[in-house]
Amino acid sequence: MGASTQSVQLQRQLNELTGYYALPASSRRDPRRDRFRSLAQQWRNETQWLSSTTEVAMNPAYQAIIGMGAEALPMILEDLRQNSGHWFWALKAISNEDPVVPRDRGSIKKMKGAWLQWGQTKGLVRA
Amino acid sequence: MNTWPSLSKAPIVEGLIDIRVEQSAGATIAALKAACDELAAEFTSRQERRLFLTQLNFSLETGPSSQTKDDGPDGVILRSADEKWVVQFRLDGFTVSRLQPYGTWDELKAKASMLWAKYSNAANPTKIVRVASRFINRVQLPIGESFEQTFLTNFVIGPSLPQSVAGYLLRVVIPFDEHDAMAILTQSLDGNSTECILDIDTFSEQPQGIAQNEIWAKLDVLRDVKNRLFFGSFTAAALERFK
Repeated sequence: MGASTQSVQLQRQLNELTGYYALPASSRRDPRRDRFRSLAQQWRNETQWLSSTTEVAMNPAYQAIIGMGAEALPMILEDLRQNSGHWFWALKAISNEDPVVPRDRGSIKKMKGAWLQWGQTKGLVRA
Repeated sequence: MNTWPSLSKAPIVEGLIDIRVEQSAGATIAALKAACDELAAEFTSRQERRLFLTQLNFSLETGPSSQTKDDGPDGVILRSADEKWVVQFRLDGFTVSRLQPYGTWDELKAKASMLWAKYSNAANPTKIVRVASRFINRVQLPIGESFEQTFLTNFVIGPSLPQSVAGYLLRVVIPFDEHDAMAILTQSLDGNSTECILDIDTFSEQPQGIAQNEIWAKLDVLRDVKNRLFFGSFTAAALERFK
């Protein structure tokens, strides 16, 4: 940090720019999204060696995501699209719906497809 | 208005309309929140916007010091269920953002017009002092190519100096007097990234006030200026990649 008047002027200009560049929504961190990312990461780390779906869904981080309620749905669906994972329990628990037809239960690919289709219909995830 | 080529792979990551006002004495956060309540079905998420003021003091005697003051909420941020629309109702104005995938200017304007009516009713501003359209683009730079092969608006490094660049921030303010408008063009490249951000902000500022019935026509002009800046900032080869 310089001590000249010009250096102070530059610092002042930079301070003013902070507000200017903070206006667009894309510059803003969404605390809910940060929380979701952190919980999803924790859930993956803690359950990566588990084979029981019940144990995977009973994980505290997974339960905390369910606790986020409807606002977690777009983030879960986006994560499902990008990374897969056993999100079906959470989706069903939060939405109180199940778009998976009985014959497709157990097929991860078809369950994922059904939920993403459901999310598109509800406007929660892009087509 | 000019006509511009249609780009199916336009690099827009956010398009926004921003209207600044001189607030009336009676404007309150409570009134803005009440207007937001009426939008709860479409905008399912709501956050308070808080204003923090940090004052930096530089003194040769005592060294640098800073003071942060929380002035409380200055507005509300709403997000649609799919998180593609973000609206800010603030005491000093309102902003509507469309995040990617960006649709069309008419969609953005229609949404802004609908929300402006709500905002204006709640905030009852004494006058409109600034209108702006702002577009943020993320531009993938071809690996191994120089910036000149993508951008026409560029920086120059003295020829005797090393030409490799590990990051840059370019901000140019350009007046468009014939349209009563100004533009701020910002280009930014973060170290190690192969993506450059191009932020084009076009605005018209009139302290004496802009008539309500003029704002949408003014925004059309600003969008036209934006397009002039966008298409004038890229090489033909770069524009070809967006088609």
